[in-house]
Amino acid sequence: MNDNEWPSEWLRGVLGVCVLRVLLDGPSYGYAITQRLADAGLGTVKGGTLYPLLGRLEEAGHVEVEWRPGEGGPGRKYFALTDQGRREAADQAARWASFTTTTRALLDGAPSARRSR
Amino acid sequence: MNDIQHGTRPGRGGLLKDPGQIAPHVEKGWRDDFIIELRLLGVSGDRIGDALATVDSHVAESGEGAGEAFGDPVPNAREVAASTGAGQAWSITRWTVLGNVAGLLGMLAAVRALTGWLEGGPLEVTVGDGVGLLLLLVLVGVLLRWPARLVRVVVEHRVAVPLLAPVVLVGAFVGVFLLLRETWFEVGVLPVALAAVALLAVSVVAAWVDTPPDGDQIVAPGQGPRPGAAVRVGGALILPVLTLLLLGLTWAVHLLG
Repeated sequence: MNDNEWPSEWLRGVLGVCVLRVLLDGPSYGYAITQRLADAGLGTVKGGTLYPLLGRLEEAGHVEVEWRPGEGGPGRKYFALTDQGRREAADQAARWASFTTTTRALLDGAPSARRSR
Repeated sequence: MNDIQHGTRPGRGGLLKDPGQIAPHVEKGWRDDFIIELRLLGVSGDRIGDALATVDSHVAESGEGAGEAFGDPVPNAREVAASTGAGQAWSITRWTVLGNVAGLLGMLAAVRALTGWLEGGPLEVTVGDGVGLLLLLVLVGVLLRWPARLVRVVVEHRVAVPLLAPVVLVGAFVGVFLLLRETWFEVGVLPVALAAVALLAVSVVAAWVDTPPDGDQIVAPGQGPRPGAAVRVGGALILPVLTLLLLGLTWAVHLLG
């Protein structure tokens, strides 16, 4: 995956879906989530962007919070999906896939697509 | 202001002071601005502690500074307030302003009463006193009308305001008192002394009412608050204690002079 900077408007749109997807793999904490997103090729997500999003997810009931003591350092605030959150994560992932299919159908119809693949 | 007075007492939690142990990895300037904005937005102490610990944890692990990882503290504070509920806890209220103003007036009245008594005569209230009082009432009116906004101005102009405000205020009041010295009327020492006591009593009550029972201290997640009674009593008694000190000083100066 390339490490270029994606347009921030695109990232703003997809961040919620992606964070929910990361949490589907299990409870995680803020910094680890940013690492996971960076490893996936989405670039660096700042704390000032991520935590308000997680806060909104918590407010909506998709996520619950648990502080766990850290190993020798400060504790970590773990975010875990609730049952409602798991349904939301799956739902959003499916809808985003459908969205990308739709947009690709439009974009792939551009002239260069005339070259047979 | 009561909160700032709390914050400058060593070893006390208080309303503005972060014990420091909650967010040791965060730059002090960023931390202070964050806490002040959260207090102004009325976010409760335990939620402030949670937000601080979250920032600290992230900063410690990422190795970035808070400014780099989170940007400006004020928008972050607003996000926290938006998702946790603002306006639920202590913020600057009319009680805060009333308590402080009544206390200051009581202190000034007490000193004037003592000077008058020591000089053996009735107090001469000058025109300058009257105009000065009017100025003070206007100031109070402004403070009562827009308390949080004014504190924000002070906080946002941390260099300009502490330099200019005392100069302007002292200059205005001194000017008024010096230039308008004709006696307006005379009043006995006793009424002024009684007024001083009444005003100080009002300030104690207002400060007591204003401070939440446990002091709404900033606590880390999972931590309980330290006993808050001391915070509340201390805050309420600051101005009377200062008044007594000032009276003592006035007496000493008079004895020496």
